[in-house]
Order: sequence, then structure tokens, then C-alpha cells
Amino acid sequence: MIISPSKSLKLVCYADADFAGLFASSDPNDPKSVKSRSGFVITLAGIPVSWSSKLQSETALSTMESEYIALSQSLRVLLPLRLILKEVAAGLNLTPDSHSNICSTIYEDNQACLALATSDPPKMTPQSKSIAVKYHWFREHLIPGVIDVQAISSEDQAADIFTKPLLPVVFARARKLLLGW
Amino acid sequence: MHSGHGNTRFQCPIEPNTNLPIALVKLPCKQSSCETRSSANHIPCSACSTCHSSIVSFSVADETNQNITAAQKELLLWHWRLGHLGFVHLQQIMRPRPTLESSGDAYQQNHPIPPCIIPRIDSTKTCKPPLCSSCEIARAKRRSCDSTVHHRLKEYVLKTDHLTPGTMVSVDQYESSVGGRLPDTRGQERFGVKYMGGTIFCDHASGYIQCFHQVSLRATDTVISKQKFERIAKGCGVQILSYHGDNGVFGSNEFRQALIESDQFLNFSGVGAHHQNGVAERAIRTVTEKARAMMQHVSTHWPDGFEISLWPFALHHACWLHNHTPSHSFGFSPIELFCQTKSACHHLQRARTWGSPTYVLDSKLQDGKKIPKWAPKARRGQFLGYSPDHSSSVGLIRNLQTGSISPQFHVVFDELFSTVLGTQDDDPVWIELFHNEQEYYGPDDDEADDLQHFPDLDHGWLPAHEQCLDNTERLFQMPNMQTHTSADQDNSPSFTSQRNQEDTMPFEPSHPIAHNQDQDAQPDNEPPDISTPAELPTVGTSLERRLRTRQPNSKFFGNDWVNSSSSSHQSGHLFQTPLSRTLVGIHQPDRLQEDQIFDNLDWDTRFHGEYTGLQDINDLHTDPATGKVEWQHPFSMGVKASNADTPMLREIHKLSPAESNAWYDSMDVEIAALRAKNTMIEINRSDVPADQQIIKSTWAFRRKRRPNGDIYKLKSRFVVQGGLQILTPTEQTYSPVVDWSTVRLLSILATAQHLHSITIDFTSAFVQSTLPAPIYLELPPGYSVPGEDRVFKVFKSLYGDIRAAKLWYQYLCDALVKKLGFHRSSIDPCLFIRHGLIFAFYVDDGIILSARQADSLAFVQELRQAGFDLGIEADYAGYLGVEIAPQADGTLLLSQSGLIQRILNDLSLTDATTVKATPAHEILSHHANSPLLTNPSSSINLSWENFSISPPTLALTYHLPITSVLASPFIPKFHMALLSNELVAISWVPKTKG
Repeated sequence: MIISPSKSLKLVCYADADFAGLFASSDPNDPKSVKSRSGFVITLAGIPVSWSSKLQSETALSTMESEYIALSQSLRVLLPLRLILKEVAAGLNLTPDSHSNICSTIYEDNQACLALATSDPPKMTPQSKSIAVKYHWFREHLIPGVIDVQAISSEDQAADIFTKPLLPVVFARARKLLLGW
Repeated sequence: MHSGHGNTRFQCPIEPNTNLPIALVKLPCKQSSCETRSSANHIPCSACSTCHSSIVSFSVADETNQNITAAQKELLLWHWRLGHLGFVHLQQIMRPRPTLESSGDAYQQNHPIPPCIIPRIDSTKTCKPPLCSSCEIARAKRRSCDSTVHHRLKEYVLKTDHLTPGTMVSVDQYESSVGGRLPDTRGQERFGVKYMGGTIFCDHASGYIQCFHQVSLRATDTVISKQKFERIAKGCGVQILSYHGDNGVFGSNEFRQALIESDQFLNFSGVGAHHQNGVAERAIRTVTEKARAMMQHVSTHWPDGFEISLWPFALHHACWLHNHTPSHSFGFSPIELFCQTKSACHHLQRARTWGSPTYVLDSKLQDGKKIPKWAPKARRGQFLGYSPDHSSSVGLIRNLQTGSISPQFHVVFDELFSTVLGTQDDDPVWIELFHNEQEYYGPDDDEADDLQHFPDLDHGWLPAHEQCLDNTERLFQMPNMQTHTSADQDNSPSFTSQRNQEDTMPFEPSHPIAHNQDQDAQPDNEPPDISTPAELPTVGTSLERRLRTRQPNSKFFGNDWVNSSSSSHQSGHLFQTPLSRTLVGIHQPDRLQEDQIFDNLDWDTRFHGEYTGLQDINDLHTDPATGKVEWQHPFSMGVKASNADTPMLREIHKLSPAESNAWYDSMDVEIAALRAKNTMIEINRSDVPADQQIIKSTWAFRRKRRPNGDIYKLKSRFVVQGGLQILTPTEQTYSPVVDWSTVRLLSILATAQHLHSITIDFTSAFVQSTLPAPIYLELPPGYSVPGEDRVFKVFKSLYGDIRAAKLWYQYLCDALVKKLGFHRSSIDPCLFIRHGLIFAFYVDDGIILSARQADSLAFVQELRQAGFDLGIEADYAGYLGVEIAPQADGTLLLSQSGLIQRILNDLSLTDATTVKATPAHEILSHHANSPLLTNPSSSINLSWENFSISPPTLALTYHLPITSVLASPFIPKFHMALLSNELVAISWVPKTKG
């Protein structure tokens, strides 16, 4: 791993999901085969701090929904990390970037999901409780200028590598994003 | 059973050796043959109705069998029912019972006690006994050469010495290498909580036998068994006055205490004299033979219904049968004598063949309710003996689907196994269990937790560079090896050398041990400095008498070690070093023989014998083609790989003398360090308050390695066996540790913001916190005070104490918050912050972060003043076990080459040139010729699994873009992880499907 840390104290989160990625390769009779996989990586100063690649516990019904679950999962890790960073930075007298707050950005490559997360008034009425809980919880924590959700092209999506097998070229690009080589 | 017609007979060929009918394999489905068979059988034979079934077998006692007579069949049936009782004995039970007073009493003569069992066919009492195949298989023994045994019954003498039940009860323990299932768990329990043996009680006066299965053979469980036995005895109105046992667990304090409490007497057989406990040993043999025959019977007649883990039920039923069977000589059953009550043999008449298929009425019908007309009215179960807790006619029935065992009354027995498929071959389970005749000898009490340990690390699992090095050469990779030697000279402990005894130990030269041969072959390669005579202190110049002489327990000294040391002694120079003299005599001949057997096992069979212990971690993947068990589960690799660095005491004794002596020195250092810190004092055992638990202690060993894999320290730790600790309900054991993402966050901050970081290590951290109340410990294995019975009284918390981590956290947390002005992070309980300083700790390793170096060092000083004993190690790189190398272009390169190398070696991917800087898919194709990767269908299914690597290095899973599905049941899954610029791991999980 080759790192060249930046001076910024920004926590950046990349979240991605692979909708029902196991379907072609495992037993179609197994309910697991239609579960989606969420992956995310959180970086500080450009270096990965926390990452995860997990099969989602509930079955997502659409790509958008699976991405939304991934977003929600990543935020659950991002929030405590932000608090720790805030405490540590206060303790060490480190000046955060621009604002008095340490800002964070979540990058998401699915436009539908992005719209769902940020649009006002909300575009979707959550149909099931499992989604509703994630949906409302997630939206509550988005504070413009502090925790932002922004669009990113799939090519620059660093968390892609955590969700599905990639072609060697794509894999090398994602590895370069994360590991610096 | 159905009554036979006798007119239409079906001739079934009989296999001469086993007296079992030869199965009719793959009969052509001719209607005629089907008709013949069904009319002959009159058995609702499912095999017959579908005729496609491949194997059909008949019970020997079936009506159609012409080879034995009807009387013999009945005799055989009773033989099966009564736990394969001897035929002579059985026929005796069928005759009127003799009475002792018959000579004088006319009434008695005219009214003899009726026979216990009245056969339907009269000639059963007198017919020539047939052979029972199960007995022949299960009870075969060597024939004595040309001598006949005369049973001489002393007239009118039934018993000598102990005439009243309860006067003397022999106790002993039995062990089983195969775990037995518990009655109430559906057979799903983990290996560690299965029955591993138990305690058997045999009353001298009556011959009454009772066995109680135990999960462990420790004193606590044994005392519980004793209480159970006494409760049963009390039910018969018998007061147990004294016990006779061998030493072992019956000599333990806990057992003695239980005896004193109930005012009983205990005498021991001599050390090693198992024959002096003959009554109990014989009782074990009686019931195990019965149980083995019954289980063998089931395995032959109903392989699908057979499970080896059912042995506790077989053993219990065997005891039950023994107790209810009238004796050979005077016609009373042990339970009649024990309870001193005459019974009418109802119990025995109700006996049914153990393990036989049963048909249990549907539970709704049992309650008098109705079920749908076409629903089945019964389900098939398996009879496992009579319930000890219910009415005597209630049998325990195992549900074949769920595995649960329930007491059932509405049951139909199929004792001839006529409704299930049998086999004429030897059952594979039995072959697997008995083919090598080698039993697993359980550990001694000191090492009771050994039960769950795994096989030693095979030589093949060692990293390549360790493999090619000799043991002692490996030792020289440790930089501080030489200082160990000099430290030992300073102390000059005067150990009484018993080398002569070792030399006279009997060994079989015909069984050379591989390890030994290595030793013999290699001594010339030893570096000369260790064997230089100038460095040897002379034998017997003792500077001061040591308080404790090290008295290595012979059971830890496997014979191959002794063998190697003695042979090396003969060969000359090396092993007369001062280090080797720290080992002294060999005692305890009683264990020696067992150890000899155990140690002489070659690796494969030993591994085989223990494999049930690995079932937990190893999903047993069986190759359907060869029937071979695959051992390549990655987790088992993990176990083996980590085992290399955490040896057992037993394994240490078997290392090369130089290395094992280095371990012994580290043990001495540990004890000395603990005593120097006033952690504990020695007291007499009698000084321990009566209400205090004396906990066992043991050793934990660890080879500490640098990130590149080199050993830099051998660490022995004296630990409490915390699992045996009994806590009060208010005491808690949970303690938090720092989250790894916090550590990563700190290290990134340190790098990005150019902060100063140091890591500190609290030496013997747990020992620094004081216990709320002192605890008492046994001396560690290998140490003893000759002639005295001493224990440790401990004031500070030791490793292994289950409260230690909690106490340590509390202690450190209090000091930081109250004395040093920190506040605890609201998110991570192990992160502490004060102005200009961050401190996080993972148990005893701390990381300090500050803008200026002076702040960090000042903080270390503050900690020392607060009473903490700690050392400064390095920056955070050492904390994480990562090598950090700044590159020319200002970037940093992080890697863990030692870990990578070990994983690659463990996976036998030692072709280093190929591995380095090669994309993963090329390595795969490079190794595609290895038998593990080649597959007949030549396609690969890749699945997602994370291979976890210690942080903060990033483990990424990488997969080939091949995602075709296999039709073969044998799907290899490749798990890969990439770490820095090298491939870390490829592992494969052969998985059986459906």
C-alpha cells in the first residue's frame, strides 16, 4: 500500500451496491441468491480508514433500494468516525478544513438513489418498514454543508471493488484509487 | 411380529462367516419373485412393494430363516433383548430359580421361584445356542492357548467381606474418544459439551452397577455424579458407607471434601495398581461389552438409524439390563440384592432390543383427539432404553427427524429390524472406529482442557525456512538466546540430575521416532559455541538451594523426547549443556504406558483418532468420489498456523533440548517476576480458608515474532484457568478494547498532520491491578515443593483470571481520568483525550499521539509516577505490525511481508518469484495444474468472501471474471485477498452440494 496523505481532515465515503449479484452463480432456489451486496469505504485524507463488503440482510427490490441500503450502512459507520475525529481534532488543536465543522461527503453513483436521498420534497413513500427505517434515519442525518451526498461517476467509484468481481482493467483502476498502486 | 405360515418358505442363502443372510442385491424386478417373497414374509416390507430398492436383508431371527430352529430364534431374540447376555446364562434364567433354603423347607421345594422369563417354545430353554453375529464382532478376544477355564463355585458362599449393600462401593471413571450426545439437546451440541466419559459405581455386596455420564472428568462433575448415585441408593434405602477408587480425580480435594461432608470413608488402590480396583474395572468391562454389542447390532441391522454418539444411552441401558438380570449363580438380580426387595422380573420381561425401530402413535391420537383420515397415525422412532425418570414401562424414543429424545408409552417395537434396511457388510462407521485399534487417551486432570485441543502442527505446516532449519538452528534466529544462557548460569540452579534414570528407562529400539532420527542426524550441524565445555558449569556445584526444585511431570515428557535426549546423550557432546540439566527425573509409571502408546502413534493415525475434535471448526468436507475427508478448510489452517507459535507444555518438552530449555528459562523468569512484584506468596494448602476455591493454574506459551516473521522472544505466562473460576453474581468480566478503525484514524492523522506518536507497552499489565480479594492457585505444572503441599495466595490479578481485563481497564481508566486529567471519548471507550494529547490502548498496548515529542514523553513520565510499569516501544508502525517505508517520491509504502510470506507458505505457494508482483489471475493459472485447482469440469465458481487481514492494511477481494456454475458437486471456491503490492492468499473451500 502506497499512501500520500493530504492535509485535509475530510472524511470521504464511497458507497456502492451490487443488486442481486449472486443470482447467476449460486443456487437460484436459495433465498440468499437474490440478496444484494453493499460495499463502502471511508477515507480520511485520502487513506482508507474503514471498509466493508457485506451481503445485505434484507432483500432489496431494486437497484435503487440496494444502493440506498448501502448508503444507510455506510452512514452508520461514518457518524461515529466523525465524532471521534472531532474529539481528537479538538484535543490536538488541529484546525479543520474550512468550516468549524469537519465536513464529510458521501459519493454515490446511482442517480435514482441520490435523488431519493436528497430531494425535497421527498420523492418516495417508503412502502415497507425495513426501508422506512433506513430511509428516515438516513435523511435525518444529512445536513447540507456538513454531510453531503454527491454524485460520482461509476468509473471513480472506489467502493465498486467491494461489491462484485471486476474486470482486470477496472480492478486495477479501483485498486489504484484505494491503495495507490 | 407376524406369525409365520411355515408352508411357503423362502430360501435365503446364508453367509457362512457371519451367519447373516446374504443380501439379495438388485433383484431383477420379476413379478413372480416379488409375489413369492411377499407371501413368505408377511411383513409390511417397503422394499418389497417397491422392489427397486437395491439391498434387502433379513433378520436371522426371521421366520423364513431355515438355518436355525424356531427355539433358537426365540433364544436369539431374548439374547438381543437382554443386551446380548450369554446364552448359557440366558437359558438359566428361563428355568425355575434355585433357592438357597430349598434343602430344608418343603414349601420352598414345592413352590420354587418361577423363572424370570418364560419362553413361548419350551425347547428354547434347552436348545443348542446359535451364534450371534453382533457378539462375535463386538466381543471377540484372543483365544487362550489350549487351556480350559473352570468356574469353581464355592458352595453356599456368595460373597465374602462385604455383605450389606452400601458397605463398599467401587468407583472408577471411563472415557470415550467419541463424544456422546446429551438426552435433551437433539444431538446438536458442540463438541465441548458432549459426554466425554463418566463415573461408574459398583456396589460390592450386590454387584449393582450405576454409571453417570459426564461432560468432563473433573472433580466437580464427579462429585455431582456421586450425589446422583447416592440419591438413587437412598431411594433403595441404602446408605453408602465407603468408597474404593483409584487415585486420579478421587484423590482430589473436591472429592475428598464431598466425602467428609457425607461422612464417608475412601480407600485407594495403589498408584498404578489398577488391578486393585478390579471390581470397578470389571464393571466397566461388563457394561461396555454389552453396550458395544448392542450398538454393533444396530449398526449392522439398521445403518441409517445408527449414530455413534448414542453410546451414553447404550451404556445406560446396559447398566439397567445388568442390574435387572438375575445372577448366574444364585438367581437374584443385583437390583434385588441392592434394594433387598424381591421383584417378579416384570422389568426384564418388558426389555426390548436396544436401538430397534419403533412406531410411536401420533401425539394427537395419544391425547384421544382425532387426526385427518388419511394422515399417518404413527411415526418411526428408535428405542434407546427405558427412561430413568418415568414409569418403568416408558421407553426413550429418538425422533429420527429432529433427533429429540422423548419418553413414549404408545409404542410398537420392531425388534427384528424387519421394517428397515440392513446391510450385510461391516458398517463403515465401525470400520472407521475400530480398524486401527488405537484409542485416544484422554489428558490427565492437570490438562483437562486438552480435550479440545487440536493436533500438533505438522512439520509440513511450518514455514519453509523453519522447515529446512534444524530446531536448534531455528533457535539462533532469536537474538536474545545467548542472554538466556548467561542468565541461567548466574542463577546456577541446582537441579538434581537424574540422567541415569533416564538412561535406564526401557525403550523399544525397534520403534524409532522420526523426530529422534532428526536429532541423531543433525548434531554435527550444531553451532559449536553452545556445546563448548568452557561454558558448562560443573554438575553439582550448587550456589544456593532453590526454593522449588523443578520436577517435570513425566506425563509431559513424551517418550520420544526422552528417547531423543538419552540417545543424544550417548552420542556425545551437545546435550550435556547446562540447559539440558534443568530436566530431571521421570516418575509416575502409571501414565507412562499410555503415553508411550500415544506418542508412538504415527502422525496419520493420531490425526485420524482426534478428528472428531476438529469437527467444530472443520466443516467436514468429504470427497464423494474417494470418501476421504478433506482437511483443507481455511479455518483449520488458521488454527494450525497459530498453533505454531503457541505451543503446549507437552510440545515444549519434545522440542530440541536447547529450545525447550529456553522455554524453561522463560518459565523461571515469569515466576520470578511475579514473585518480585509481590503478586503472590506461597502458603500451605491447609492455610486456605475453607470457603475459598483453589483454582488450577497453567502455562501459556508464545513465540513472539517481528513483522518479518523472525522470532524475537519466547514468552511464558503463568495463567489462571479462568474457566474454573466461580464468580459472585455481581462480578463482571466485560472490558472494552479500542476499535481498529480508531487506531487507523489516529495513524492516518499522525501521518497526514506530522504528529508525534509513540507506542507504549505496559509490562505484565494485568498484574498491576489489585484484586478485590485474594484468590488461591495451585502451583503451575512442572513446579512443586518436595514433601510439602503448597498453593499460591494471589493478591493481584493474573492473566487468565476472567476478571483481569475488566479490573485492568478499570484501574487504567481511573488513573487516566482522576489523576491525569483525561476525559474518555464518548464513542470509543478506550480513547482518552486531554489538551494536546491523545491516548488509546488495546489492553496493554497503548498509542500516544501529540503535536510535540516532549508532550508524549512527559505523559509517559506521568504514567510511571502514577505507578504504572511500562516500556516505550516504537511509533505506531510497530503497534500495527506494519513496515512503513518512505519512498523517494514522498509517499509511504506499507507492507507486512512476514505475514504474507507465512500465508503463502501455509498455502504451499512457495514459488516466490512467481508470486511477487504478479497479478492474481496469472498466479491462478500458474497453479492451475495443481490437483486442488484442476477440476474435471474445468470451470471455476468464484464467490465473495472476505479474507480478513490485520488492520490497517487493506484486504481486498479479487476475483477472476469467470463466473460459470459447476454441474459437479465439488465446487472449489477461491478466496483471495490482496495486500499492498503482493498477493496475500488464495484459499479454496471444496464444498459438497446437497
